[in-house]
Amino acid sequence: MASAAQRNIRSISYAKYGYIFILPFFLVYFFFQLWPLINTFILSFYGNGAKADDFVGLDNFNALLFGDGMGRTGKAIHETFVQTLINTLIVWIGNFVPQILISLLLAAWFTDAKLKIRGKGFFKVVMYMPNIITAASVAALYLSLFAESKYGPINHMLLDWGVIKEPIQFVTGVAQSRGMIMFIQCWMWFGNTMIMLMSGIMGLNPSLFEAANIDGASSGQIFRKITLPLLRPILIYTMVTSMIGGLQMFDIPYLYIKGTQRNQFTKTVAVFIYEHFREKMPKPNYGFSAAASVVLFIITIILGSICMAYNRDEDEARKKKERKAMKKKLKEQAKNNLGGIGI
Amino acid sequence: MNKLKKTLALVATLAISATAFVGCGDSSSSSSSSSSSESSAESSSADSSSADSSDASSDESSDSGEFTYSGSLKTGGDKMTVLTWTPDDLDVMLPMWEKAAGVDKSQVNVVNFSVGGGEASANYDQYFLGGKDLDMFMVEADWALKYINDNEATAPLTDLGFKEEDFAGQYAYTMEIGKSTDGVIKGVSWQAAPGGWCYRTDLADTYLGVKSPEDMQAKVSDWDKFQATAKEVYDASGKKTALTTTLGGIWQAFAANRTQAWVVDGALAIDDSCSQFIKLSKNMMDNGYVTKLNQWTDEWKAAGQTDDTMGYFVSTWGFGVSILETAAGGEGGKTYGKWNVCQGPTPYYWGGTWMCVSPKTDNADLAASFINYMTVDEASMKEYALAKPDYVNNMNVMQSIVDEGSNKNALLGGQDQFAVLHESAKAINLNGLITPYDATIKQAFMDAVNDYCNGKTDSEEACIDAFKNKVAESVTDITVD
Amino acid sequence: MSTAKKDSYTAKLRTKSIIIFIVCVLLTLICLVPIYILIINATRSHVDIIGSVSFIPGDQLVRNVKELMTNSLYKFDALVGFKNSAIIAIGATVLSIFFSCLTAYGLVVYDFKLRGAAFTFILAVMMVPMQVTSVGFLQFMIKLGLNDSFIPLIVPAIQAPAIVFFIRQYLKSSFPLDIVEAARIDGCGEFRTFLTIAIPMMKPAIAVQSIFAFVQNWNNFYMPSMILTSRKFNQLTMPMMISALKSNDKIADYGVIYAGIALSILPVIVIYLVLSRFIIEGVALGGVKE
Repeated sequence: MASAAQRNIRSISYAKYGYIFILPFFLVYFFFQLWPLINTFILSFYGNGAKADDFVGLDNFNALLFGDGMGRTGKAIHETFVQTLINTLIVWIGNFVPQILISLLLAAWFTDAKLKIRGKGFFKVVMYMPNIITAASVAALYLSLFAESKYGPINHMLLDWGVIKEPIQFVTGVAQSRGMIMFIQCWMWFGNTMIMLMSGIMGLNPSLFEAANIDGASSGQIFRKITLPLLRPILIYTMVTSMIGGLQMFDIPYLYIKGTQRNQFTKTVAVFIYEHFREKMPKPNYGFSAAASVVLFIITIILGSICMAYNRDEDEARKKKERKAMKKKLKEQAKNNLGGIGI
Repeated sequence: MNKLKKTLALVATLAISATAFVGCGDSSSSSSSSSSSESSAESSSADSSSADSSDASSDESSDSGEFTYSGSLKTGGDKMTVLTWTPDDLDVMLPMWEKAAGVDKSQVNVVNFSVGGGEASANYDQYFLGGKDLDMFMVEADWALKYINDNEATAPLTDLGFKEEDFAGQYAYTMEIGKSTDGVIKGVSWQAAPGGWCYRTDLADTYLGVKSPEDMQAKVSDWDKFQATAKEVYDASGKKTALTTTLGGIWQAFAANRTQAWVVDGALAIDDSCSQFIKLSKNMMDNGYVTKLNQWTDEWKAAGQTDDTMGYFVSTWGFGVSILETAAGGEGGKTYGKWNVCQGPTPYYWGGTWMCVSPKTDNADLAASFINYMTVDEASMKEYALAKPDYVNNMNVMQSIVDEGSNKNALLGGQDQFAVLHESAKAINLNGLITPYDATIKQAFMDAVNDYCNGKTDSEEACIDAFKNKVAESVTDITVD
Repeated sequence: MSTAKKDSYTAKLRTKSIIIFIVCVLLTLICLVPIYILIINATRSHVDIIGSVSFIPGDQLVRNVKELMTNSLYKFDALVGFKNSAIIAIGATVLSIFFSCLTAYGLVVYDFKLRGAAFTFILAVMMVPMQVTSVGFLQFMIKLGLNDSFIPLIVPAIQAPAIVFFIRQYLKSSFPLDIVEAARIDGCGEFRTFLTIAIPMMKPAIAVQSIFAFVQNWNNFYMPSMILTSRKFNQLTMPMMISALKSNDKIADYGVIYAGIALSILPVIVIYLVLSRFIIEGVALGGVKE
């Protein structure tokens, strides 16, 4: 009986359910986001400021990427754009590496049944807290704590203790401001990453851990040999989303500035884009802004594809092969059946 | 245990959603009912007011509230919609006008963006794009021309029935800012924002032996004296006290020395005053005559309670919590009452808000009445000046307030700041030096100067070069050599 | 196994636990001190806050909150802000989580021709920088007459590529496909399988992403301030009110601002505490899978 039912099920094609399940996503996307996306591409071929309606071809890209054309404007915008790219990379790497290490370690500890950590629940709650405060409030808070004159609380303290002689330029110093933004980003996001990884680890089959425990494997061994490999899809997710978040980092670099003076060594590409499409008076530079978005999009796609290449695990490849084989078999079967009917 | 937690969670969620719905039902029902009653009340009151005043005297400066609309723009719309980014002025102005003009407050809809002045323009553009009802909007000097030069955004005030003579009492510079490049008046301000230089009286006495604002003025009456006095203070205080707090503040005043607009014939123009300012800044910064603080940071104001700085550049609106009162530590604060104001090296203005009317307005009569109340009618302007208190944009009114001598500011130990600023205001000479690009160019200039003074660029040429680059990148409509 | 060995093993575990405890305490301090200062600032007066940092609560809390709620200068009404933020955040979270689960499940469980292409598309979509697309989005919404409406803030949440991606990865690492087949044999329809079998198994992932989505939507300032062009008071969200407090330099009072910030994070902490229970339950859940 069962085998008959099974055969029955096998022969039904479930592909249409796949389409039905993913349909709402695509409908909504195409309705709400497709035009804005296309619009960005179109704008990148148009002019800036008062000349926003002039078609300029690749001029914006030329200026951004090579500093060609447009005289001083082209050179200046190229310099700034390259600087913002470098800033973005430095600040992202500087916050991502410590963040993922800390999060992974904590996630492993918090999910290890053998370890009895007192106050585990409390720690988990507290470590996520920085993430629930709006970036604007976070920036304001850090700006007041790390104000760079001698009145800044941190500077004041360090001066009092005699650790430093001159106040540290936490907001305008090149290394200092970058370090601060890395720290703030890390501070805000490590709890988030930790929880994500924990949920990933908890989704793994506990019997594997039990078996390993019975076999006398140490926590370290279990983590390296079982948790990490199985966690790979989630780790790759973390990598990709963090990379996207990093390349598009906006809030903190935008807000962590001294008064009204923007620090050119912490200005990210997203801030550059925002400035040109919203803050330039009297008319925004839509062309530059959109072209920079397109360039950023392409960079993201390239880096994202590299990350995703690791995701195409052997499992997937094997399945693909199986699917092909199955199709072939089905075809043959169908042929045979038909043949049978034919006779 | 688990069950308990779940129930708790459920209860919490329910509670939240319940309050959400309760709040929702409440506000929506009340707002809809009130709005319907409003609209009917409004139409009747609008009718009656126009009927009342139709044959009233044409003497506009008689009694407050008596005003006849004689413009050509549309009237009779639903509500007068006013866009602003800072509601605190309107909060006082509108109720006073409504009372005087017999307008119900439901006839006015204030769209408040609650953002910094620089961001307001982007929000306006979004609102304009949305095409919702619009009658008036407030603009800032830095970007006023963006709208005033745009005939789709602003209507000439003559279309509202005003003549240039109506604004004869206004300070000249405020009129200039309200004019488009081809000389049409499209914006008008109810306030003037002349600035002065505030200083600590106790420090001035100790380090300079200065006892009165007049004596102080003599020591800072031009920029050379200002720097010399700075040296005197710095040396006398044992290299501790800077004369003034920020370069940004100095620039507010110094910019009044410019002889050229930022953009001349479509090209960036850098006149001698820029170079003078760079030299002055470098000198003051390197020698500790000005602190390293930036404007609009927390420490900027906190410094007023220390002996590290002696003064602030402050304009009319800055005597409250926005600058000086906070710098003094609030009422009863450490340095409260220990401040005085003098004119400083140059008469200058800093900030201010202008009112513009959209050509698409459908409540031109209300808009005109409001403008009349706030900027033409001297009696009502005086009333407002004393009520707010604010520095209104009328020389006669301010003169009479100064003459009465009723304004004794405890923060300044009883000094009347209006008396000092009034003299400055009359002397401010704008010479048509504003352009639509000022906001962006000014910021670029100050950034470049700050970088130079903090050692990020190493020569004046490099500083100017960085400035030019920044402008070239930001303002693509002009040429930068 | 000798008892000595076992003893040394547990001793090792104990030292490890202690070290971990110390690390956690340090991290907790780093996390908590700034937040603590934020909350302490809500109890202090403006001048005190600007002048110095303190670890000791002041006595201005009542005054700050009262000022915040009653002074018309601040245009702050916590109930209105909570209500609007809650409508947007809850609506967007529910939609994005449900439809992301649906999409991810469809991508993992069913084998169809465009599966690879669909997934690649979702990934690509995730990589579009939003700073510039928002202009086009606003223009389009204005054309549809949807500015000043919550719809553009809630409905587009149905497409949340990052959440789809996460849940897909989660299903990949921990969802046994045999269970779907087993359900089919039992005669269970596809949607029922999804709702009654798959969804419960995704609980930890759903809890995590719900928290994240809620926090993100609750704190979202950019989109609402763009879409709600007319700034009707009864439409303002919490972050819009907070930002209004901050940006008006003419009425700046830090005590009041910090009171507002403290007030705005309270509901998020409550939601987080509620949902984090599910993450812990996730451990027990794993056992069902066998």
